[in-house]
Order: sequence, then structure tokens, then C-alpha cells
Amino acid sequence: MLELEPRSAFQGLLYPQGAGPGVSVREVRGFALASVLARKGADLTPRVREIYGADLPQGPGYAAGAVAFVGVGPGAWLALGEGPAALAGLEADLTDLAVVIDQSGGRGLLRLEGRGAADLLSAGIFLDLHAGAFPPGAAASTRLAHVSVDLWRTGPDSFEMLVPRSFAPAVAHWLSATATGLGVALKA
Amino acid sequence: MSRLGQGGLIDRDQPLTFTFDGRPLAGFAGDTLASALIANDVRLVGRSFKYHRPRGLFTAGPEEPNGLVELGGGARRDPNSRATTAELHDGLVASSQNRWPSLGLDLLSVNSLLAPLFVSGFYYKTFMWPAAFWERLYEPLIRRAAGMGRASGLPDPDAYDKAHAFCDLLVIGGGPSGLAAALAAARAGARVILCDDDFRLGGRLLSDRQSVDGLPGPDWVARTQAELAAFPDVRILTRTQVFGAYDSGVFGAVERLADHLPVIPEGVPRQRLWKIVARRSVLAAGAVERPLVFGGNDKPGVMMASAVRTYLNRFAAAPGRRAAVLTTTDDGWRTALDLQAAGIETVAVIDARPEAPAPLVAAAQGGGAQVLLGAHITAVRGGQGVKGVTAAGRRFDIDLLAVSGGWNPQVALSAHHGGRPVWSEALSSFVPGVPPPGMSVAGAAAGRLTLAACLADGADAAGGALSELGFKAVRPRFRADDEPCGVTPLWRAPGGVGKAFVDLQHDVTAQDVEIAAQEGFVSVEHLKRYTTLGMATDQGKTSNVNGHALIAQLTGRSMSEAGTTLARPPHLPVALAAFAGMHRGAHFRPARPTPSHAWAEGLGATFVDAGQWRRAQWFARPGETDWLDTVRREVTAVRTRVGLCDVSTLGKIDIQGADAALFLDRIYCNTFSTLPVGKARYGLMLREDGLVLDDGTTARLGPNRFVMSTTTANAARVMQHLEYCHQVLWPTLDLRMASVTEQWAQIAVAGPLSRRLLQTLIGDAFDLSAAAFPYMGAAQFRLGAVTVRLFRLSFSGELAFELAVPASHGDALARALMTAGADLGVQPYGTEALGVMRIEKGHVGGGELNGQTTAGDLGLGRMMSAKKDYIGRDMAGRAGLTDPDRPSLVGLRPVKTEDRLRTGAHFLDLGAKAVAANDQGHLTSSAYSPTLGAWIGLGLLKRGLARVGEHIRAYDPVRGGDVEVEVCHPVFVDPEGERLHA
Repeated sequence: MLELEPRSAFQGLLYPQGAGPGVSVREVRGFALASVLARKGADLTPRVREIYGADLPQGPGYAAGAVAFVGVGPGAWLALGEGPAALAGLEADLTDLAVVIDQSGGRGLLRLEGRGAADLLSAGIFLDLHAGAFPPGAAASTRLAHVSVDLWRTGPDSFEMLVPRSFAPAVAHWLSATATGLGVALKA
Repeated sequence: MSRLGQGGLIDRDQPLTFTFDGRPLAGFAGDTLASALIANDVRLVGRSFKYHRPRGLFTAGPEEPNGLVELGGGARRDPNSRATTAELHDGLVASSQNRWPSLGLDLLSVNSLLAPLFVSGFYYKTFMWPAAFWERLYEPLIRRAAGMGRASGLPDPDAYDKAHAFCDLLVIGGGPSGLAAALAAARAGARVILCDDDFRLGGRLLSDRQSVDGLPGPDWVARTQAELAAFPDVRILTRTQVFGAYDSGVFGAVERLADHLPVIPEGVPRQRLWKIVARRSVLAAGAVERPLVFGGNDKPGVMMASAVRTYLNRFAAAPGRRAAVLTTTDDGWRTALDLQAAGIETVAVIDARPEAPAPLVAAAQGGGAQVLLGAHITAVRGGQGVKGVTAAGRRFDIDLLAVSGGWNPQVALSAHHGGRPVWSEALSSFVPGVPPPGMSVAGAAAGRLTLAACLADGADAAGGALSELGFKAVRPRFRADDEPCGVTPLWRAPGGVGKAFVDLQHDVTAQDVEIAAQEGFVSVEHLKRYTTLGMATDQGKTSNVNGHALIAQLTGRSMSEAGTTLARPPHLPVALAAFAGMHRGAHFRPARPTPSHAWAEGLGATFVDAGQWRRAQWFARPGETDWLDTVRREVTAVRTRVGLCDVSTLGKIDIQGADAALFLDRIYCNTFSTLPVGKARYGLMLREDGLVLDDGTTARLGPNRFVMSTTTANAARVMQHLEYCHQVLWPTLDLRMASVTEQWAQIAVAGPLSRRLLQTLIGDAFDLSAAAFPYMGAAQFRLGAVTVRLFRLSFSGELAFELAVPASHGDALARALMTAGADLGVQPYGTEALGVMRIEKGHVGGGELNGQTTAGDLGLGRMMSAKKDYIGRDMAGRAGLTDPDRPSLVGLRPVKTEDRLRTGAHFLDLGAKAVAANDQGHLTSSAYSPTLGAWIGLGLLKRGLARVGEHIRAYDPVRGGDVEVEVCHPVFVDPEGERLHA
């Protein structure tokens, strides 16, 4: 049987650079991702809480559970699970309530950690990423240097960001050039 | 050497060397180029704009009108740089500009003799006829004579960067008011950004001998800066100029990161453009000292009195050896005292006012100065520099004349939302009008000119702003003195010999203002444009108010009536490169590689930009030197065997819901609700105005599930269109959709052997036989660990399939297909071959879907359903859009088969004159067809297919083409579609 080897979006694009504490930028590989779009008039909240233990964000926000949900629009979420099969049952679980569309192959997922992560990201994102304004659990569908990204904060100094696959090289270049300019070391 | 033996905020342990006009000179860390030049006795730094008069340093700040130099060399040459703000670094190379052949001997100073020609409005008066001479003669001539620095003409070698910042309070200016404001806000717990243009915080506290809280000014600044820096939410940006106040509390600022470094480290940006969003702002930009207008006021050695203090106290550099002070203010007297304190002989204080405060008079006299009250300077002696002055009949031999005419608050940023500055009779200056929302103006910028007042005002402004934001205000208080600050404005000193300059950078004299007044240019806006007052790179920071006061006097109006011009952002020069940031060259916009990019790169593909996408254009093989040969081979491979091409860039939209089919019926002009599950259909969608928006195939994967494809170019636009239609036009429809363009890698496998190749690849996972999977079939199934989609679609006209896998597996799929097809002679093909085959088949593409064509124009009128409503239906019925004379799609082939067709050629009847009135349409696509062995084309021709068989001209004057062509049916290859259905 044919087995195709996957290639992650940032494969071969991230390199460590500079010295010092800096920001660690790692690509998360092998995740499962899907658009979850509520059907007309449907309320997914109880079912998602029951099955996945996540409080579905109403508005831009990130909620962790067995599957994590990121609010990206009215009645629209991204469901994110660890491992390629993490969302295998999602469509069946929600089918009467939501349209579920696989997006696992279309994005790269970056995890940025370190004291300088917010400053590094805000160089390209026109949003206030101060912990008081964008605390853990906050999320935004926004632009990073002309690229549409989905960003959320998972901890005081940690963020995760989804990047459309074809824009991964542009984002990798932006990260490298901006970190150099700011004097921030990158750890891959 | 004019370096004082002690004092100053320079680091005497860090000597630096630099050159000015090739001459090696020495300075210290902490110097500006200007202070180092003064310490080296360099008095002549430039030639003036129109008259090429010798000029020396006039100020010590960003308002400098004279000391403009070229910094650096080669590609880094930076013209019109202000020596007064350029931070000295080791190896700095500076040259004077606007002189020829040298600064000391400038032959163009002959312009001074032609002065009568150069009065205000001379452009309009002298060079008015004939018009054609402007570009060819007058303008180049004026440009050479009227000098500015020279741009390097080379690509900028430096990197530029952008950043964003948010704060509760933005403080603009790091002088006493700004520091007090920042301190008040920081102590209240607010998020603060403090910007200062200088490389050192402190403003006038660095330049004047004053103390705060018992500490000398610079020491208090250092202590305050240390306290501010310790707050986690305070950001101090020095070398940063805020250049614009925009809507909603957005400010633009440029930070200079590398201009002061001898060598720019690799990758370090030269400048960073900041977009700062502030809930509140305090403008504490200070004030600029006002010159006095008198004959000879531009000679090197005439310097603003406050600048003299800056050079003495901050830089320990003496701008002269024997000095006099000309003043109409108390502040001027302080300069006399500071000169005396620095040990510089100060022979006279000439005050135009009849009286001056007695303690100042006594102190100046005690220092050895003669005091002349109610006196004016009647003559300034000296050619390339001041040698002496005459005042009240007495001659003084001096080389430095310090001038003090009062202070102009720096109101520019307060006016960026249109709030006109207002004249204050009490302060004799313009003060801010209505500032932008959220901004308060503090300290000298608001007309509060003494130290104690500035400190208190800064703290109060910040306190007020923070209270509005709900912070518990902390208003620190500071111990400082209010120095004497009396002023009586004097707009035009009486008497005097020679030109009296108002605008030194643009060489505008008092006489020019008089001429403007005589000729009726009395509005300050007209005055500006007629005389060019305030239009130089310094934006009239030292000249505008004097000029406006003169025109007010000349026309018998008050200052309030005459008003002043409005500053617009940016109010200081900003390099265009800073706005571009890193988005230039290869990174002008993000480039999007396709999922199989690495595979194509490995095969040596040549890539082409398709919007942001980067697609393989062709795959040349060793020995192929002409791309046409490569494309010919690729087309032949597909027509005779099998080829594969990454078509992932086509837009893909997943549409699901009970009303999905109904939605598509309204979007497309043809019907989709009748499409069976497991089939795809070609669809055409119109815009509301009846013209074609886009085309593509949409497949039905389930009763309520469709996947639409769009053209590459219109992917985003169609998604936007569908979202608009659903959210705005028909929000009650039950459906949801998502773009899956990035999710799916899709590879076309085309050619008579395509079925055999695919079957080899997928084995028994799916039955590909014509019976099981006919033309326009669509299916989704598992292949190994992944879900794949298979469509039997053909753009090439051959038996063909498109296989889609998650984009993460696209590269592997391309490689697997090549392996599976090796025995069949599979070849990859690029967008050129794809384009050739679509022209051979008469499929419309970008040239035809040009936003001006109807379905009928494209030969697709029969697709427009008469049984349902759809977007564009009514407007498509307009007479103009159904006119049979409209150009419509035809095929074209040259009558002489060796002739080449070129896209863009216009059609003419044989024998018709080549004028626009005879235009019959144009050639929209052309290609060499390897299948037919000749050039072929598609075109939009008046009356279209009704003219099949007719011979016309394809006339291409741009490239010298004039070819006789035959009109034919647009499908050149396999018109019956037999190959397609194989």
C-alpha cells in the first residue's frame, strides 16, 4: 500500500541564531486541525464540554481540553489535537451541530516561548500583546507582516501561532530578520 | 582648538576621528558632528540654497537650517543630514554640499550678483515661457544651481525594520517636562513610552546651568532615567523622532539604530519604524529659539543664543573667542553670563528693549560686557564669517554674535489633526490650538518657558491623562527655579546693511516677504508657496513665525488674523526605506511556494510568479537552450504519453449545509442542484453587473457537500464574494464554508497513459475504469494513511485526472507519481505547457476572463440558465451586454504558418487604416502549438464566430507585428472531445 511521507510546513526553515536567552521557536509537527463551523442556530458548547472537556470560547479565545478550540469568527473555531488522528471522531461527534473541515495539512504550527516572545511577535503584529491585554487564553486571527495568522497565548511567555503552509517561508524569514534586528536570539 | 578645558557631557577618554571635506579631525564620544566641527574651529559648513552664501552652524538641534551635510559615502551617502543631530562616531565621513568646486571658493556664489533675478516668485516670473523649456532647460538649470545634497543613486545597502508598541501614555520629548510626565505616569503604574529625538535624554537640562532637586541638570536626568528604566512597563526610546499623530491615538516614529555606529553589524537595521498606539499622549517637544531678522544675519558666526549655551555647556566647545549678544529677551542675557563663565570674552550685550532686568545687567557688566539698551545692530562685518558688528554707533570686533529673539513652542504634532495653533499675545508666540484627541501639551511646547513651570506642567499633564484612564494619579513635585523669561518680540530690526534673511535654508529674505505682500500674496499659505518660505527640509522651524509676523505687519493685521501654516505629518524628514521596512526586493511581498516546490526545484524547474504564488513554469532538460523547445517537449509528452503538473494554486472552497446546492444555484449562472453526488461540473459565475467574475469546476462529494474550485487569480476574491453573499444577501441559508486552498495539494495527471499511471500508484484502492469513473467523476477515498480526492477533469483536453492529498503530502505525491510513471515516460510540465494546451483547446483563461467580458462574449452564453435566478442575471440582459457586435471569442491562426502571433495585437479588416476607429478587437492569448506545428491564438473579435473563415490583420505596432490571420473556431485540438472521454 502506498504510504506518503508528510512534510511539515516549516521543514528546513527554522535555524537557531544569536546568543543569549532569547526566544525558542519550535514547529509542532503531526498535529490535527479542523475548521469547526456551527450549523445554523446550533449550540456546540455543552457537547464540546462533555466530550472534550473544553469551554468553547465565545469570541476570540483559546480553550484547552482533550482537544483545544480557538475562536476564529462568529460560530467558527479551529479544533486542534495532538497527533494526526486526534480529531478522527470530531466530525461524527458534532455532525448534527457543526460542519467539520479538515485543515491539518494546510497550516504550520509554531510554539514561541521566552521572555522576549511578545515583543518579537508584536514587531509584526499590530496588536497589544502585553500580558494585561492579551493574557493566557487570548487569541486573535490577525496579520503578521502581511500574512494571515492565528495566534493565541498559552502561558505568561508562550504563544502558539498557525501559519498558512505556503506562507511558512515568508514567516520564517520575517522571524529571522526581525529577531536579528531586535537582538533577540532564536532557539529552534 | 576651541574645546574648553573642562566640563561638558563628552567622554574625553573616548577620542574619535572623523573627516569633513576630506580633512581629518578629532572629537569625543558624546559629540555631535556640529559640536565637533565647532571644537575644531570649522566655521564654514555649507553654501546657501539660492545665493550660495557662506553659512555656518546656526543652531544645535533638529531645526538647523544651515549645517546640512552629506554623511557617509558610496551607497550609504545620506544627503541633507543635519550636522546638529548627527552623532559623532569613529570614522564618520562628512562633506559639505551645494558648493563647487570647494566650500571656500564657490563659483556659483555669483548667484548673489544675480540676486534681483532670484526674488520671490522668480520661478514664475523668469522662466515662464516657453512651456516646453521647463523640463529640458529651466528645471535642470535651477536644480543644479539651487543646491541640495546628492542622493547616492545606488540601492540602499541597509536593512530597515518595523515594530508596534502600545501604551497608556506616550511622552514625546525627553526634556524636563517629558521626564516629569514619564515619571508621574510610571510611578502611577501606567505603561509608558518615552521618545526623544536626541541620543541623550534631558533636553535643555543638558545645555543650561540649572539644577533640579539640588542636583545639576544632567545628574538629575541620569537619576530620573535610572528610575524610569527600572519600571517593567516603561520603554525609553532615544534617537527616536515621533513624526506624525494619526487617527485613534496612533503615532508614527522612527528610531535610528545604526546611524551612530562606525560599522553596522550584519542584519542590524539602520532604522526602525514604530507604530505606537497610545491611550493618552503628552507632547513635550519643547520650543525652538527664534532668530532676529537684520542685515547680515546669516553670516557664519551668527548663532542662536541657546545654541551657544548648548555648545558651551553640553559639548564644552566654544563657538567663538570674542562674543556679543543681540537680544530682545531675558534669556539672551543668560547666554552672555554662560559665555563669561566659560571664559569667553563677551564684549557687548545689545538689547533692543529699552529696559532689562537689573540683576542681569549688573551680572553682564560685572563680567566685562558693555550693555546697550534700546540698541540695534546696524552693520555686520566679515565675508566668510563675522568679524565685527556696529551697534548704536559703536564698533565691536567679535567673531561670534549670539542672537535671542524669543521662543517658538514646537506645536507641529499638536496640529496634525487640523487644530490650528493660536497666537498668544502674552507669550508672543503661537501655542497649540485643539490638539488631537487624548493629547495634552506640556512645558515649553505649551508656552511655559521656565524650568520649574515645565517640570510641574509635565507632571500635571501626565496626572490629568492618567486620572481619565482611572489610574490613581501621582503628581511628583520638583525643586527648581523659574528663571527670568521676559520677551518683547522684534520682527524686523531697523537699519542694517545687506540681505536680512527670514528663512536661511531657502534663502528667503525680508525683502522677498515685502514683494509677496506688494504682489498680493498675503495669506500665509500663499506667502509660503510664492516665496518658498518654510518649504525646505527644516520645514521652517526657525523661519515660519518670523515670516508670518512680517506679512502681518506689512498688511496691518494682527498675528491672530494672519495666522500660521499647518504642519502635516511627517514634520521631520523620514527615509522612505523606513516605510518599506524589510518588504523590498525578494521580500517585497510574501512568495507562496506550492506544496511540491522542493520536488520541482530538485528537477531544475524555472519558476514564475502567479500572484503571490511561485509556480513551476517549465522543467528544462540539459541541452535545452530555448524555453520554447522545453515547452514543446512537455506538451508533446502530455499529448502522446503522460505528464503531471501541480495545480494546487487553484482556489478551493468547501461548502456544506442543507442549502449548499441552492446557494450554488444562485452563485453560478448554471445549475448545480441537479449535479449528482460523485460528479463535478464546470461553472461560471457573474458579478452583479452581469460580467463574468470567475470560472471553475465544482464537485458534489455528498448530498449537502460541495467543493468549489476557482481560478488562481480570483481565489481570495471569490471567497470574499461567497462570504458576502451568505452573510449579507442570504443570511438565512443553512450552510457553512471554509477555504481549503492551503489544505489540499492537487496534481493533474494528464495524457493517454494517465489512467495506467494512476492505477499503478493507487492499486486496488479505487476503480479508475471509464465505466466506474467516467469523465467529470469525483470521489474521496482513503489511500494509505491519508484521505485523497480524485477528479476526472481535464484542462489539457486529454484523458486526465486531478488527484488531491493533504498539502503536507503533496511533495511526496509528486515524487510517488514520478516513480509510478517512470516506465510510462511520465514528464512534469509547467504553467507554460498548461497554457499552450488550454489555448489549443479553446479554454478561456486570464486574457479572456478580464473583467470586461460577458458569458456570451466567451461563447458560454448557453450556460446562463433561464429557469432560475442567479447573481448578475438581470444586468447581463442589458442591451450593451447582449449587442451582437460585441467582441466575442474566436480562434485565430496565421495565414502564413511561419508567422508568429503576439498577445495584445489588435484586429483590423484587411486594407483598413490602422486607426482606433477601425479596431475590431484584440488577441487575448497566443501560443506555439506543437500539436499543430504553428502559432495559434484566441481573441475577442467583433461579431465573433459569425466571421469564421474571414481573413483579418493582427496588427501589433508596439512590437512591429502585422500578420494576416484567419478567423476559426477556438477549439484547435480534438474538437469532438474523444480523447477526453477515453
